[in-house]
Amino acid sequence: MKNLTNVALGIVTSIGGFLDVGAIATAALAGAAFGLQMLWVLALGTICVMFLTEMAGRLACVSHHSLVDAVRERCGFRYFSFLLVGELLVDLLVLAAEIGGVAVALHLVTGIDYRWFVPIVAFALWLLIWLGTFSIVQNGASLLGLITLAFVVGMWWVGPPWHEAMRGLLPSAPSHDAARYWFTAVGIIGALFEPFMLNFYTSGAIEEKWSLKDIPMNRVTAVLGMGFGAVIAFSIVILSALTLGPHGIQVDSYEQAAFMLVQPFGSWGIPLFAACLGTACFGASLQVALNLAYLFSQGFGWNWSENLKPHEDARFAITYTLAIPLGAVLVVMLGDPLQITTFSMALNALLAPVIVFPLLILMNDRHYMREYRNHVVGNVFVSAIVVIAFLIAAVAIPLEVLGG
Amino acid sequence: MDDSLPLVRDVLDKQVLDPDGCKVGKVDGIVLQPRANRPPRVIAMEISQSAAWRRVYRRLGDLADWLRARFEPGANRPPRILFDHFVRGGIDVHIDMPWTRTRALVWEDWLEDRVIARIPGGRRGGKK
Repeated sequence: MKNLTNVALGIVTSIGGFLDVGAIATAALAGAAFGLQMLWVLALGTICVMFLTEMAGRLACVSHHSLVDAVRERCGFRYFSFLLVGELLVDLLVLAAEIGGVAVALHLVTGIDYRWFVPIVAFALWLLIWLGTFSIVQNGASLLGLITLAFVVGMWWVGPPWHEAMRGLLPSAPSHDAARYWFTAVGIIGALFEPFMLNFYTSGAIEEKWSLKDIPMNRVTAVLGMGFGAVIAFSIVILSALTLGPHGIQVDSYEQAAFMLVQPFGSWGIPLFAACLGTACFGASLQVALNLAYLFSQGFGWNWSENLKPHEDARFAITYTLAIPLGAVLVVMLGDPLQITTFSMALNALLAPVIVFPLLILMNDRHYMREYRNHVVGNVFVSAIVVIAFLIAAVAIPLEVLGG
Repeated sequence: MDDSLPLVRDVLDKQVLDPDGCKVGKVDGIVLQPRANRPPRVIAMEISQSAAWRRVYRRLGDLADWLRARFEPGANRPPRILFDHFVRGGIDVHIDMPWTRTRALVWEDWLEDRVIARIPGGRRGGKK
């Protein structure tokens, strides 16, 4: 029974990790602009991320090292320094986007300028991490994030065209606006391949003391958690395609995206969208802020754990204490949280190969993985993912200029 | 050759753990002592940002060194752990001396006393 509870909690947590401001924004953009034509990108990205999550979790179960720990140790400081600088910049931008997402959600409900909410959100975020334990931070936020199932309910309510959705699962070239199509595709993949997510997942496994006996649970969590997360993201694409696209709404802001829930839920639609956006972004911002502290602590070998009192891991605590206000300042300085989100998702795609490639090496290292190394099929898949990640990284910036 | 120790594979960049499993830092550098007509001898493991950044680019190492000399509390030389204290390598490096004797956690102690303890909820004692 306890195992079942753990699996259920793990799945809920993974949904929380999957669905954040990037996933919501890119799915809404894709649906509004290209209908159901981009569902295949989401499906491809989900399969890739299932594999990556399973492998990262297995690495933590067997070696008791997080991904960042292992990358520093196996690939050396020079390689790690690229990851450190890249992930610091990208995570700060993603943190800004997530804090902005919560602030916009509060703006949707109250009508007050979102900037007023940024310091309040940042303080609440810091307080929860400062006082909370890992399970409170992780499971609490994830359980709240279950409200995003409203997107699935909304999609059923509207009545999706299943045949067209099935056709959307087959790769297809854009019928119009090719640069924007491929930029959105890169954004969708960037939202799924968020480097912070993989390291946060392995760090969580170590916080919760996963061991060899948790390998099957890790597999179920990775597949079902990401699968359920994908179902919600599919629902957003379909809802957006059915409710925003036909009215010519192109999702230039979260306010426009919120209309996708008006058709199924009437006057409750906007507050419900705000609740979904707010809880998903708050959960994700907790993960990103913690991941920044994990990144530095694990990379430099400091004491770290969200379960320790701040005085027991002072440098870990100081890192998130500095990162959160920095993220908040970035939201206010850069403005328009949706723009920050789409830009940071393209940067995610750029950074993805830097974290995915070492995973291929680590999963075949007998010192770390012992007899739990990757089999041929796993290696073929992760090699394909590395190639995809490199290709996407190569086109991310040109597409940012042309289609962003 | 069976008792050989591949330094780059099993020591450099690895997590240093004291006898209680406390994290001391990563092995940022390995110090060798040249000897006349004999192979160099491994004398210490260095735990310092300057050693790490110097491996990326020499001037970054110099900058980290200057910052350490300027700002590190009670700074003199970067912390070194003599290789006599090395117990075993692998995916972690185990040493036989407690972290309190390493000087690798001066920043941890300074931040704890000067910053963390002054924030509500940051004082010593109790559990989260």
